[in-house]
Amino acid sequence: MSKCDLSIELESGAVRHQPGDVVRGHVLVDVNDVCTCKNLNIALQWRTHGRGNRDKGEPLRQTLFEGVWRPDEQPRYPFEFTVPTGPLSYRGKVLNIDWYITARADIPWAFDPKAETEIFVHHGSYTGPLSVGNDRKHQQLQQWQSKARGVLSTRAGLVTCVLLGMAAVFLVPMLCMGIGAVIWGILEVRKDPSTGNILLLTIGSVFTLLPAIILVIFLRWRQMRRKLGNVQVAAEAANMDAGTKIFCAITFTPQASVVLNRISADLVGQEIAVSGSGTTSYTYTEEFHRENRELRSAQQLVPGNPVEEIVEFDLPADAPATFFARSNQFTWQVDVKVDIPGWPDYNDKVEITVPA
Amino acid sequence: MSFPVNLDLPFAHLNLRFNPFGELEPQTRAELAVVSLEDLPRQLQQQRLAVEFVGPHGHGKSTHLLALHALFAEAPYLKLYPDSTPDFAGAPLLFVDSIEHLPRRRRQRLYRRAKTLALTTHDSLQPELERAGYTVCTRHVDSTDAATIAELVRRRIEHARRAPGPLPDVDAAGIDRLKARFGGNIRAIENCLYDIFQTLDRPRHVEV
Repeated sequence: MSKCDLSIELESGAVRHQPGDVVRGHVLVDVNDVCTCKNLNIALQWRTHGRGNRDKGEPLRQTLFEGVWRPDEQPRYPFEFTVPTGPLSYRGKVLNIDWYITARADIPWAFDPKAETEIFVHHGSYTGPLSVGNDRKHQQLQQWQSKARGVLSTRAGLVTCVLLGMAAVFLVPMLCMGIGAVIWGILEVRKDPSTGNILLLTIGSVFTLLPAIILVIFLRWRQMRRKLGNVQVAAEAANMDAGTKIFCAITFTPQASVVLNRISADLVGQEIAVSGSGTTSYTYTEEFHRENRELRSAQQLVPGNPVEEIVEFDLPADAPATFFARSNQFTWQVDVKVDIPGWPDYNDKVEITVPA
Repeated sequence: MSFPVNLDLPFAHLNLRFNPFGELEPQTRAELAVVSLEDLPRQLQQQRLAVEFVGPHGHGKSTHLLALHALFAEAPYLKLYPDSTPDFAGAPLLFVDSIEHLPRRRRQRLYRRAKTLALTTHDSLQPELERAGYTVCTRHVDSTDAATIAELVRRRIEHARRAPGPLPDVDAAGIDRLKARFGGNIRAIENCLYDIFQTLDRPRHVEV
C-alpha cells in the first residue's frame, strides 16, 4: 500500500470547457501513513495520442502543498486553471488531442502517487484566436519557405538555372555514354550477336532513353510554364459573420494561345502523424476534408488577356483548427491545378492557418 | 454498460483512455515490453562485453534494448539517426539504438571509448565487435511466439484501461491469425489492431 493516494474532483463534474473558462476542482489526498510531501503539484497540459509519436504542450503548473500528512487527515486542496486558447480537443483517425489535469505528490523515498483526469476543450462560443501548437521548427520553416518563395518569384530564372545545371552535370553525360554504348553495341552485335553484346546494347538504350525522356518532360514543362506566364496563387482564411471563409486567388497572363481543360482548386484538410524517427519513421496522412471548386471551365485562353479568378470555400463549422507539433499536425491547404490537355498540369498549393 | 461513460472523453465507449495500439512514450513501451532478458543484466556487469539485438524492422529490437536499459537507468542511451554525430564521452556502459547509422570509422571510435555496450542492429556486427576486443552476446529478435503476442496485446489494452469493467479483447484464435499473417512483426500487428480499435463500437471480442 502506498503512503497516500490522490484523486481529482472537478467542480460540478463538468468536463466540457472552452478557451477562457475557469476549471475548478479539488485534489483529494487519502493518507495511509505519515508522510512528508516535498510538494503536491497540479498541472494542466495538452497531449497527443494516436499513430504518431506523442507530443505535449507546456504544462500550466501550480504547487498546492508542502509539508506533512498524517493518517487521520483527509486534506482537500482547491485548484483552478484558466483554459488556454488551444489547441482544442480533437478525435481523429491517426491523431487525437486531449487535455489532462495531473496531480502528483513528491514523496521522498517512495513512489510518487499520481492522479489524472481529462477535460474536453471545445470551441463553444469562443471567437478569439487559437494557438496552433508548439512546433517552433515548423514555424521557422514556414518563414524560410515564404522568404524563399518571395526570392524565387522575383528571380524565376534561378530555378531554371539550377535545373539546367543538374541536367548538364548528370543527364548530358549519361546521354552521351548511352549513345556511345548504343553505337558500340550495334557494331559489336553485327560482328558477334552474343549475350554480352546484346546486354551492352540494352544498357546503352536505357542510358539513352532515360535522360531523353526526362529532358523531354522538362522541356515540355518549361514550355507550358512559358505559355501560362507568371502564375501567382494566394490563399487566406477570414473570419466573417457567417463563419470562417477561405479565399483563394489565381492570376496569370498567358503568353501564348492555350486550350484550357479547367482550372480547379481543392480545399484539403489533413491529419499528419509521424511514428518513429530517422530511416524507420513512417508518416501517416489522413485526409478528413476535401472540397473541389472549378474556377474556370474548358476554353481557349488568348495571349495577353489576364486570367484572374477568386474562389471561396466555407470552412465547416466543426473543422479542426490548424495545429503543429513535432510529430503531429492538422494542416489546411488549397491545391490549385491548371489542366491543359496534352501538357503537364500546373500544380501549386498554399498552406493556410485556420481560423484566421 | 456497467462502467461510467462520458462520451466527451476519448475512447470512453471502449472503457479505454486511448487507442492501446497507438504510439507510446519510449519509457511506457519499455514498461509494457514482453521480453525475456534472461541473464543479460548480470552479463552486462562484465567489462568489454557487447550485447547486440539483431533483427528486421518492427520485430522488437528497440523494445528489448529499452527494457534492458530500464534496469540500468543511469547509463547513457543513444538513439541514432542517419545524420547523427553523437559525442561519445567515455562511459562504462552505453546503450546504442540503430548503430548501423554510424559509419564504420565512427563505430571504431565508439568501441574504443565504451567499456560495455548494448546495441541494436539489422545485421550482426559480431566480427568487428570481436576485433575491437569485445565478448559478443548476440540475441536474434526475429520471431515471437503466440503466447508473447497475446500477453503484449493484453498488457497494451490493460494499460489503456479507463475504469473497472469490461474491455475489448483479442482471443487465442485472433492471436493465431495475427501471427499467421504478420509473423513476428510486432509493429505490423500493432498497426492492424490500431485500425480495428478505431472502429470498435463497444468492449467486445475483437474479430481479426
